[in-house]
Amino acid sequence: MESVISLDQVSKTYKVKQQIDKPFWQRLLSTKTYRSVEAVKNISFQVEAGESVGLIGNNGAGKSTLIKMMTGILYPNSGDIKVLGRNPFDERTKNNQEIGVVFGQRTQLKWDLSPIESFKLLKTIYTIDDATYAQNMGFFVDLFDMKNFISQPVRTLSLGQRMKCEIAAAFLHNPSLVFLDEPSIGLDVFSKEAISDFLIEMKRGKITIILTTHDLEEIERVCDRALVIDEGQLILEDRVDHLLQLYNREKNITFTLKNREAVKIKTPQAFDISYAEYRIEVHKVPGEDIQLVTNQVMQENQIVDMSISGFNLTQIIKKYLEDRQDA
Amino acid sequence: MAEGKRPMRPIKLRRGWDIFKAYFSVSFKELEIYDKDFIFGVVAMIIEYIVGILSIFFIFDYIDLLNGWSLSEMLFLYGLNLIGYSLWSSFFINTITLPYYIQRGEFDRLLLRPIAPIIQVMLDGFNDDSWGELLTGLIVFAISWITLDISPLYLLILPIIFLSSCLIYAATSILLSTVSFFTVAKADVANLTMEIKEFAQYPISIYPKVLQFIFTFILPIACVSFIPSAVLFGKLSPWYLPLILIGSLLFFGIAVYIWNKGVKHYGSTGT
Repeated sequence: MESVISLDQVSKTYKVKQQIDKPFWQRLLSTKTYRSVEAVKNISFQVEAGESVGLIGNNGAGKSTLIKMMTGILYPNSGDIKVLGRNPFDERTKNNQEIGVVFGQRTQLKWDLSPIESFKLLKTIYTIDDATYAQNMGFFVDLFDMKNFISQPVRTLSLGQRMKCEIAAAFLHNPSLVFLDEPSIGLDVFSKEAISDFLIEMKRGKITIILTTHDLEEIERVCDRALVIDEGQLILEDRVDHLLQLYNREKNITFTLKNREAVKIKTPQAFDISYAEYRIEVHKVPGEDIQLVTNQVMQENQIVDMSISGFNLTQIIKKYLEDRQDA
Repeated sequence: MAEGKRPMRPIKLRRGWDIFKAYFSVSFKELEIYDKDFIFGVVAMIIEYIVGILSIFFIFDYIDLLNGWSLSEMLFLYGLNLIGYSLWSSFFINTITLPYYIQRGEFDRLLLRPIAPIIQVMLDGFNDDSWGELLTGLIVFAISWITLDISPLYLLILPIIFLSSCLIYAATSILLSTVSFFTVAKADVANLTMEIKEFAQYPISIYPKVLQFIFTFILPIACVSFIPSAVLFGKLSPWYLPLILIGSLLFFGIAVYIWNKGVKHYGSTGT
C-alpha cells in the first residue's frame, strides 16, 4: 500500500532580507542583499496509514516549515513530496477535504460566537452530511466533556476549553490525516491529558496523526514513532517504544534513608552516585547491577524508601542530542 | 467513484449557495451581538453622507447643468454609485483585509480549507457601518428615479446593474490587495478603493481624455454608474447594458486570476 506521506530529499530555503544599518534613504537606493536560510535540508521519510508520528525539535528547527510543505501552504525548493498520493501544493484543495489541521497558536473559531456556530460553518465548508455531523459531535462532546461550554462565546472560554474545540473542529469532517502543531502549548496538565486521550482514541479510528510538541511526554503517550529534527535536518527516526527500551537498560535508583548522614558505598565499578542528607542517588545502573548496588547501600545505611526509575523520552532525546554533539 | 460522470454544475451551484448562506448566517449572528454599535454606526454613516449630498445641491445652486447633467440626474448617478459601492463594502469588504490575514499568519488557515481562499476572504464578515451607506444610496436613488422620466421596464434589470457595480468594486479591491502577497507589509493599498469611489460619483465625461480611457478600459468604474445612468436616461444605446455586465465579470475574473498568482507566489515565501 502507498504511504500516506512520503518525502524524498525535500529542501526549503527562504530568502531573508539582510538588515542594512544605514539611513532610510540610503537603504532605499542601495541594492538589497539577501541571505539564504535553509529551513529544511534534504529530509526524507515515510508515514504509513494509521501511524502517529511525533515531530521533535527546538524552535526554528524546521518543524513548522515541514508541516507547511506537507499541507501544501509552501512548496519545496527541491525534492518530492506526496501526501495522500498527491502533490500537496498543486492539489491542495482536493487534499484539504481529507486533512485536518490544528495550529496551537491560531484559532479557526469565531471569536464572538459559540463554538457550535463555527462547527456548523465547517459542516457546510466540508460538506459533512447530517448523520456524520451528529455522530461526530456527539462523540467529541462526550470525549472532551464539552457540553457545559459549547454554547458560550469563544472569547469567554479558557485556553484549555478553546483548544478542545479547536481539535474537535479539525476532526469533524472525518479526515484521514491530521496535523497538530503544538496543540498543548500553554495548557494545564488536565487539559493536556484530555488531549492526549482524545488523540489516542482517534488513533483507534485509523487516522494518521502528525504531532509536533515540546512536551515529549505527550509524544510518548500518543505517538508510535518519533522524528527528531535539528537545524533543518532529520537526525533521528525511530519507534518510540524502541527508543524507550534502548535507553532504559539503565536505571536511576533513589534511596531515602533513615540516617541523616549518608554513608558512602563501595562498588566494584564506578557508578555516578550523588549523596545528600537522607538520600543517595545512583545513576545509570544496568539492570543486572541493581541488586549489587542495593546490597551495598543497605550494608551501612538504613533504608526507609527506594525508587527505580528509567529515562523518559525527554531525557533520551536530550541524551541523544548531547551524545551527538560530543561525537 | 467515477468522477466527471456526475452532473457537476448543479451540484457546484447548490454548494456555492450553501456556502454563501452559511457564511452570511454567521456574519448576521456576529452582528446581533453588537446591535447598539450597529445602530450608531449606521446613523453616523447617514449623517456623514448627508453632507456630501448637500454639496451637490450647493453646486446646482450656481449652475443648471453639469456637463449636460441635471441635478436629478447627478443625484441618480450619486445614488447608483453609492449602492454599488456599499453592496461591496457592506458584505464583501473583507477583500481589503488581506494584508492583515497575511501578517497575522491567518492566511495559512484559509489555505487549509477545501474552498478557494478568495471566496473565504470575501465572505468572512460584514462591515455593518456601510449599511448606512447602502440605505442612503437607496433613498437618494429612489427619489431621483421618481423625479426623472425613466422607463419602468428598466426596474427589472436593476439587480443586474447593482451586481455589476458591486463586482467592479470587489475586483478593484482584490487587485489592489494582491500587492500584499509580494510585500507582506501591511500597506493599505486596497483602501484606495474608497478613494476611487469618489471619481465614479460624477459623469466620467467631465474628466480629461486620459482619465476617461483609464476609467473605461483599465479600471472600469465608468461601468459602475456613468454608463448605466446614461443608458437609462436615453443618452446611450441599451446595448451598453449587456456590455457592462460582461465587462464587470471579465474585470472580476482578471482580478481573481492575478490574486491567485499572488497565492502561488505566497507559496514560495510563506510569512
